[in-house]
Amino acid sequence: MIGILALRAVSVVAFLLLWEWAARAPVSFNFPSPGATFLALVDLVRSGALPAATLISLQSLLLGMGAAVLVGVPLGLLMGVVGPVGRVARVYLDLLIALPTAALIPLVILSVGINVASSAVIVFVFSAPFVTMNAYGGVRDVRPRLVEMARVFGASWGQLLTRIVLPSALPMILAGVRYALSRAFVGLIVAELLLSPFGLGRLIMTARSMFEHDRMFATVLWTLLMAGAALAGLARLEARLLRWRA
Amino acid sequence: MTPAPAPVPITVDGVSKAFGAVQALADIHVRVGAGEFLSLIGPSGCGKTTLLKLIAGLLPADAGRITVGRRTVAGPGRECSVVFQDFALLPWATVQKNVEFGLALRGVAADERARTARLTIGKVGLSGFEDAYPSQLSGGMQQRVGLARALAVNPQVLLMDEPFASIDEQTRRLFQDDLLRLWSEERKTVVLVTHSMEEAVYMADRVVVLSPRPGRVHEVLDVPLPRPRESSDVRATAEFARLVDGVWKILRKLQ
Repeated sequence: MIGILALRAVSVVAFLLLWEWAARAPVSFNFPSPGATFLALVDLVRSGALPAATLISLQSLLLGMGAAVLVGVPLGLLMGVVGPVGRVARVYLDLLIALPTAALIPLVILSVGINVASSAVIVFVFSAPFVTMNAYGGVRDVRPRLVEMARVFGASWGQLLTRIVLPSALPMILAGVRYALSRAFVGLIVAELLLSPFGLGRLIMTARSMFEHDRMFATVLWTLLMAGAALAGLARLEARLLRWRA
Repeated sequence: MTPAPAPVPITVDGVSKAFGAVQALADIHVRVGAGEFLSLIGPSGCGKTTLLKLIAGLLPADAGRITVGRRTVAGPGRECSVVFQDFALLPWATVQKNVEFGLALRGVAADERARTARLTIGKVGLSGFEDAYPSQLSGGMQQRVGLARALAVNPQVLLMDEPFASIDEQTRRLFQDDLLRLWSEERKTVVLVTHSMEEAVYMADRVVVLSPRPGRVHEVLDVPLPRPRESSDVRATAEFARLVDGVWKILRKLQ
């Protein structure tokens, strides 16, 4: 345990050193050093620009990601439980996953307009297919014997679904949600860069157009930190919910 | 806890079952008396488990009629509990929650459910393991959970599908004796599917021998060994050996 922590610390230091070297070389024009990026980050927080942008972006993220879970899990379970639905819907799901999702942005602008909700739609499109796919796959982990056992006790359809199918598929579902969350962050920034002039994406764009590369880097770093924290939180939740596997 | 309901008889009347082109069971006639302990034995693939599933209402029969008590079986019913060879425990639930499972499905209130489950866990000798997960228990203990779950709903009929098959010999003998003791206290109608001749004889009032493909009732043997058997050395008697040998002679011819 301590060995792992030490190793992680070493990797962070190594990364920062590499970054510092890249800034001093410099690998490109106006490449900001870690120190300059950190100072810009402090400045962005102090001025209130970063907290405000974060608040807006989090709205889109939570809205889109929440919808992805609320729609994706039941849809995936339905696809897994009702064979024909799965075989038909699967084709569309495969297409959605293969699609360069950014190409959908003009379509979203036309139908939703340009606002916080439109970023949420993009987040949804980025993340929902993976939640659905994993819930669908999770149904395959249901042991038929457990269904038989529940039927002996007179389980109804709904009881089979909530008490056997859902918990059996839960490990796969949670893995899907974790992956979808990283996709959601990608979707969020893509949407805010290309579509709606709000939130963290706008902060990145503005900084870039003003050649304030330290501020741009600081915002990207901040986004990474948020994504990392969210994923770590989810991993903890997962460990708690699946503690029976230990 | 509700008082133990009176045991009910089971009648299997001219039942057949095929899976595609394979005739699993043909014209089966069996009657299990109320409170009787019946063993079902036969060569592998003779349809013992299929017959058990038909009685449990998990599979529909192609022909014939099965009644449990006064109910004609058309699906799972409240009289029957099943103990499975592979335990069929919920890996994500504690022992307590596993034993509560049947009660929860039937809408029993949480506090009564918890009380009944704890009591039943005590009966099968697992007190102190309420909060353990199945993966933390040995095979024998897991099957005790399976038995407790089956008993917790207070069934009149206990259907057991090779319950001791994946348990080591010493654990199995202790478990068999505990089951006999519980049975003598609660008097349920029991159908035990097994491939062990000793077990079939040791446990039952009668042994039904099925012939293979399609499964038919080949012979029914009485087991006139005195009870309680769990506290005496029945296994060491000449009568026990003679009965087991009788089953073996029938099975040898059927192979």
